[in-house]
Amino acid sequence: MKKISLFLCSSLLSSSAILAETVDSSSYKSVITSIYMQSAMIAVLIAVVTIILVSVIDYDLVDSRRRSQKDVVRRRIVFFLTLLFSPILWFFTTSMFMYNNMSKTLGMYNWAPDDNWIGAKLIDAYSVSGTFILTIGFIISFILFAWLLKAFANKHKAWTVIYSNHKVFGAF
Amino acid sequence: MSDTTRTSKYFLVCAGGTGMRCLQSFINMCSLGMFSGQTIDVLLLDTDAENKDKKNTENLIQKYSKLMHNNGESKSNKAGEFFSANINLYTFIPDYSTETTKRFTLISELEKGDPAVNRRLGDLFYEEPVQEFDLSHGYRAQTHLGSYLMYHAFIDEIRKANSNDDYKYSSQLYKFVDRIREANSEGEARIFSLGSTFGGTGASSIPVMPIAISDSAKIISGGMVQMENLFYGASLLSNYFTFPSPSDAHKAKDGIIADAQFFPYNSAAALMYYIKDQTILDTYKRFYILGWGEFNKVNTADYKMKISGKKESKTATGGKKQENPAHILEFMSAFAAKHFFEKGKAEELKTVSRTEMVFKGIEAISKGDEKIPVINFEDLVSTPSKSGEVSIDEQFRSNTYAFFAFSSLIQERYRGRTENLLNDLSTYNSSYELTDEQLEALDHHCSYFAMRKETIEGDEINIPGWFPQLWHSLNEAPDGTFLGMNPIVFGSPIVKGDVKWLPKWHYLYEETIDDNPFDVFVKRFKKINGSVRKGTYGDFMSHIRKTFTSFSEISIDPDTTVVNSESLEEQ
Repeated sequence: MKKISLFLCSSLLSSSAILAETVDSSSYKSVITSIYMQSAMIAVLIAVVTIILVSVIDYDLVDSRRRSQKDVVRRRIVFFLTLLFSPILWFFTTSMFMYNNMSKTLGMYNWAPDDNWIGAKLIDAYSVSGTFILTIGFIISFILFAWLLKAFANKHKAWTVIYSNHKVFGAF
Repeated sequence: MSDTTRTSKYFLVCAGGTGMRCLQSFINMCSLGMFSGQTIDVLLLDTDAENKDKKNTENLIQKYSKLMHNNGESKSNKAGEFFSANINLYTFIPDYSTETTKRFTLISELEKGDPAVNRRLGDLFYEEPVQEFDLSHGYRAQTHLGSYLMYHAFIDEIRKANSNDDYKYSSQLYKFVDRIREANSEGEARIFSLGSTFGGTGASSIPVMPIAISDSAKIISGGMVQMENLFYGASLLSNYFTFPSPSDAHKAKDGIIADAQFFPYNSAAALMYYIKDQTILDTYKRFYILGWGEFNKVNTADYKMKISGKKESKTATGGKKQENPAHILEFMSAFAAKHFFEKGKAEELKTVSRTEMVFKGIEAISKGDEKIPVINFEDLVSTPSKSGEVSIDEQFRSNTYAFFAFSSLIQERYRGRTENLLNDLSTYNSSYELTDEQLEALDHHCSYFAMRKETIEGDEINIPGWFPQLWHSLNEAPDGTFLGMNPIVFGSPIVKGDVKWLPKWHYLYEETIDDNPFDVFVKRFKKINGSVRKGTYGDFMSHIRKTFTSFSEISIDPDTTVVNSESLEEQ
């Protein structure tokens, strides 16, 4: 068991080196596309996790003379906090924690010291376009999954985040 | 409400205080989906205009009329949508409040002509106090006088209406009898009487009802009534509740007064009369004999004290204070009416030459010296069902659980305001448009059914509604002996203040017993009904019913409970 754990740990530590891919002028475009795909996939994953989180919040039946309903508000707080912090987290993770100027690496990609323009393109793909794709992807995925759950699985909680009182966000 | 153009063949006559409470049970039976898509004409007959049970019943029917709709199939083996039976109410109260009608001696005009001879004739039939007591609180268990006066009141009213068009339009008794005449000419009219055998107005009315109605119909139609098309039935309720005997001062003041200690004798004497009198046996097709036997009778004074915590100073035998708790036997009477209306074709009833006596035994379990009745849904209603079909008692169980759960939820969460539930559901994209009248009527019916709040001497207390009162009428029936329900659903007497006797509906269903019941309810509501925009009142009631009936009801087997508790004691 100890050996297995040791092997797994060393594999994880050296994974960036093992999986590292050198980007050159011929491959940088496909790498950028895969970065976009990564951010889109992460957006989908975050949307799924958010839907699970908002679905955990119970429906609230309460006399309005005592207090107002809070469940939809709570779900919206979860949604907007995720919408706010996911891009921020993505931006700082990709542009600061994953990027190393000395070793010319960004995540699992590296490039030759002479090809700094490739590094700039990759950073731009991750932190600017990727952040944008993540944000838009999260919103679209959340709306799509919430609607699918409502329409085909009769689960309405996630949809109440977007649409309540027959109005968008209960107001428009 | 009485101006409906729909003609029914079912007619219900509810007489006296017990008749009123039986009618309340009948209305509740209809609100729970019975007689779906059918019309019933109801005559409310009382002599005590001030009787609170009567006022409550009239109020209940008025609210019911705001809630009834036509979304129902007319099938006897089907429990349909809530409030889907149409009820037309007619009221007849002989006026005993005037200076010329408040006593027998005045109505019979004993002082006119030769008073001495008239008095001697009157004395042959009635004791002097009976001739002289004030009739404004009813017949006070003096049925020999009451029957005579009730028949007289019927014929007098119809004659007056027949001779005066203005009076005719205002006479509800005339309209009721005219409907019977219409149904008679169409081939069939079933008339069922509800009332007690031991009290005053009901016990006085039941014996004379067939003759009074038939003679009235003959007066209206000029004798053109096919008697073979009129079918009469009645429930005979023997004594099933008790109240403290009036004080000596009370007796001295009122002279003639109802006294519960004589109810068993009144019942026995009345039953002897019903099974032997030839006129009765010739006119009634079926009697449903209902009694409470050896079971403990609920004492209305003890019950009121248990709920309010305050002792009543004076026994109420009539008037504004006569408001007794509902009893399961009244509910059974209502189902007896259903049985009479739907059992057997007209041709079969025509062959009945002598009154059929119908009765049913109730299962009982022993607890020490006490015998506890076990009431199941099959004891209330049952019809043969085809294999694979849900039986009527199962359908009725689902509807009863559903309506009790719904009305309790409204009390528990919204302090009786359905509008606030609608607002909450609207947040979840399910909006319904109910009129103010419908909302007010639904609020009233839910609080009447499950629980209402009342302020007594400055304290706000929860008064158990009609349905929990049935459970109280069985002296707080233990586990499963009342319709298989866990007693906890009717609330608890131990906790004080706001939650005492607050129904705990979430113990009715497996799905709601452990999880947040409100979350479970909305999830299921949305799952079954989806999103609704501007749904109607009918949609709302139907969606509520569908939601609750989709849950798995918890039914406790009392035999298992007894076995379990016995084995626990042994250990």
